[in-house]
Amino acid sequence: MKHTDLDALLAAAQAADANVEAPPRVEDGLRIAYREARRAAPAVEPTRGFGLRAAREWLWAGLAAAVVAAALLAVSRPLRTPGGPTVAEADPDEAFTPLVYGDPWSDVEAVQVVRVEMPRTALAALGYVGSAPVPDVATAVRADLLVGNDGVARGIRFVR
Amino acid sequence: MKRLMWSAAVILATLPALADDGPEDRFFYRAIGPAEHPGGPPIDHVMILGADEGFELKTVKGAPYQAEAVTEVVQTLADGNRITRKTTATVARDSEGRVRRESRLAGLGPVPAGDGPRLVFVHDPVNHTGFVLHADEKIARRLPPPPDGEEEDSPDPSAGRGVRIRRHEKPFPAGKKQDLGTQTIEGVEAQGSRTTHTIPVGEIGNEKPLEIVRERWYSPELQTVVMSRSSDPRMGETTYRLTNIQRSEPERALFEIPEDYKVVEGGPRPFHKRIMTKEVE
Repeated sequence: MKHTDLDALLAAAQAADANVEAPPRVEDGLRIAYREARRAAPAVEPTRGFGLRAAREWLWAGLAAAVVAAALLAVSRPLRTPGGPTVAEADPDEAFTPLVYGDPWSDVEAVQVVRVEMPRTALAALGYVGSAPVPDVATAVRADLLVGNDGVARGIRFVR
Repeated sequence: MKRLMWSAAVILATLPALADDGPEDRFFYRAIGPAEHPGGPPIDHVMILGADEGFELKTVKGAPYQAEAVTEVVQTLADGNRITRKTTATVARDSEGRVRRESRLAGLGPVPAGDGPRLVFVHDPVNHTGFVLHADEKIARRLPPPPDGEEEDSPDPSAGRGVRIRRHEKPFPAGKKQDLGTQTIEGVEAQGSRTTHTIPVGEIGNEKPLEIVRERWYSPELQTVVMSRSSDPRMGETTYRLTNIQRSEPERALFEIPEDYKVVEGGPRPFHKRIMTKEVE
């Protein structure tokens, strides 16, 4: 069947039903069902846009979320740098323990403070002879080294 | 409840920005050290985590130069085997006393290090400031100026500006000094001296005396050490030498922060505020 034939048949059926109405009992049944359904639904307060109450709710929600976020931030900060050093770990006023025998400032014109992590076995290679207690760490220690412009470490300061 | 969830979502989305580390942490270089990574670097390696303080012990004006600074460390092992390591840096000084030192920290004395950061330290006595260029990150950090009265030109050139090295537990005997005369090194006349320290028997558990010999060749004209050699049985032999010395005035741009660098003010540890004393035997 062609589309034009189908269109013609549907148009004829629509014309034939034009004056036909649903029986009154069907219409009454629908009306009753609608009323019952509406009675059973909870009452809905008419909305008044972004009113005072809504603003207050948003404010409290925002404050609560901010408190939660602040708590998360405080907890996450130390976790962000588990292997990385933080400034608080070293006492900047603590003196360095000398690593060279003699005047550590001789032959040096500039110095850098370099933070390192190294195995305890490397301490001896740097000239450390144990004049200050080494932190009780099984495998590695973290320290600031005072390195001269010639690349030689002059002093060491352990990071606690 | 919906509002609470939306607010929390918005704030949590901004957390990464809020939680960004301050400048004090930004200049440390994260590295996996032996403690965290047992299968990582060799046991005798040093992992460099950061280097953000550096300063000159004296200011020299009217003697500009540029050079490469080569440090070579040779260790002779008990079986006769030898380990040699070489690191290179560049140094430039202008007529007004500004100094720029650039290096990649690849080792500390005899101890090799991981792939350290490339750092540039600039000391600017003219503007009473200095800065560190973190070349890998293109970040420049200005160092805080020293307090009044603690600026350069200290009467004691080894005043240990900003840091203290504590005294040795036992005063060690003064070293024997020897004049080595004058010789030309890399086209520059230098005066040599040798100091020999002897560590007595038993001092550090040693069965025989240990001799530590330091040689120093100093150029009065450049007012800098052009070569030094240190021989220590515990650490091997370390030779520091300036090469390719050029006496011309370095370009001014070397002492300035490049335009494409992000500038951060202040430092994490204001070393200039520390006690400035020399507490060394």
